[in-house]
Amino acid sequence: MAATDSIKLAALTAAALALPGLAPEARADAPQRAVSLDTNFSRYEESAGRMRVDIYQSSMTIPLGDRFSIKANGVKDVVTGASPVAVGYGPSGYGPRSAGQSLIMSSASIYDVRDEVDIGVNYFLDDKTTLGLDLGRSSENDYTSDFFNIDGRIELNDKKTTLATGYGYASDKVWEMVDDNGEKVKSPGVGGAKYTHQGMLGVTQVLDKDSLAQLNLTYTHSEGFLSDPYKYALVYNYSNPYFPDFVRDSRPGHRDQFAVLLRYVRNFSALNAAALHADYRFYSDSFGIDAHTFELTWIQPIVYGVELRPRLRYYAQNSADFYQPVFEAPRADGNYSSDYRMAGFGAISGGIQLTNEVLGHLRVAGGVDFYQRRQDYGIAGGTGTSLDNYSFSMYSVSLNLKF
Amino acid sequence: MKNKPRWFAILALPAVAMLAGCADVQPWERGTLARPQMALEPDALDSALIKHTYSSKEAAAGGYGVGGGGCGCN
Repeated sequence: MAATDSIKLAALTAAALALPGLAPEARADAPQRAVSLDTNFSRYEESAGRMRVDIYQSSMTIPLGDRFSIKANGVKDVVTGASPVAVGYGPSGYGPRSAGQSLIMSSASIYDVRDEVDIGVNYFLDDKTTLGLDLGRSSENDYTSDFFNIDGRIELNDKKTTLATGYGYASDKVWEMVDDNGEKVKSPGVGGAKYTHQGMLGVTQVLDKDSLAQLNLTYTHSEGFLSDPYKYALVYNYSNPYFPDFVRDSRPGHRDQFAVLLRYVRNFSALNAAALHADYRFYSDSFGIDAHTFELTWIQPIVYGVELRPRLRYYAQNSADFYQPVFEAPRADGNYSSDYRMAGFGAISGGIQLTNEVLGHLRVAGGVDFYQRRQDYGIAGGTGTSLDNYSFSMYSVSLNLKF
Repeated sequence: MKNKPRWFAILALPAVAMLAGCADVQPWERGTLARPQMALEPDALDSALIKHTYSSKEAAAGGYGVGGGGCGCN
């Protein structure tokens, strides 16, 4: 895209959405064997009038005899707001190279709804072995995802050790919707298909009568269209240094992601059976990004089934090999991204949840979380820009019935 | 994937310690471990939501499980 098109670029309606909705996962935790119904409403809201998402979730588990249980999940996300499109120079998105950089946002008229449904079954082979299968579909006006997961877990060593494994496959399609005289139309030739394979190995170990630990390894391989159809990068060309080009976000066609998670849970009997949850995750991928995540949660039973759950999290990543806020020269491999998620940055977040269990069957909860992302919070290095600093808050209420 | 050998070594140490350092816990001593607050995911719905939110705003994902569909998160 030529620089002269940047005004048009700034006006593009980016309908790719914030969508922090639920994605069901095959987990290393034990599946439920009781009848349960969970409902949750959450509101996700970013600073400076960016994205806002209302999330409605429901989940139901029903045992079928002694050997099976089925589970169904439903999610609806209602999304409004604006999203970053590119980094440019000057208020109009481009200009003299000495001028300050600016963040180009989509128009604030984004509106989309995402619906996701999945259904799963667990088979209890015996009192030590469980197999699971889950199928689902997620759709929005510019993205569809069809997926399935299989997982298994077995308890060994007098049930002090649990081994878990899982495999997931997703077939996704993404495209761009643009505003054509007030009507949303599909942009021809932009987007494509993406295929993802995921694998997990995990071990959970009882350490003593008050503590346990878990080690999980996950590997993900993705191939296909891995770029963001709504994002652009500003690239200077030696042949015309005063008029850079906006080029579409372009990433390698395959990605390998590796994560190691260590979790530790400890009981404190002297503090009314409070529990400490401490997690550390190391992440590395073939885009050149390494990341560290530290998370602490304290679960404090108070009285009459009331619990308080404060949590604190720190995250840091370095930038992708093909990330720059603005590219001073073309890249030989043709990969460009100024997406804030590919940048080097750090984030601090924290929240608190209050829960109340009534009569052993009903649990109500309310919580709030705050997240602050800043370029200078990072410890992992790499390139970034303070233009991408932002924060979000999330409020949620939930209700759980179990029999 | 920078400095991978060093990170593998760092992460392998607690894993070995975890498996080697466990005490012999008898079944009747596991009441504490069975309490809801000791579950790895005490609130699965809340946990899935917040983790998916983070993974749509950060490059890192994975570690907690596999599966689920993608989204046009932006």
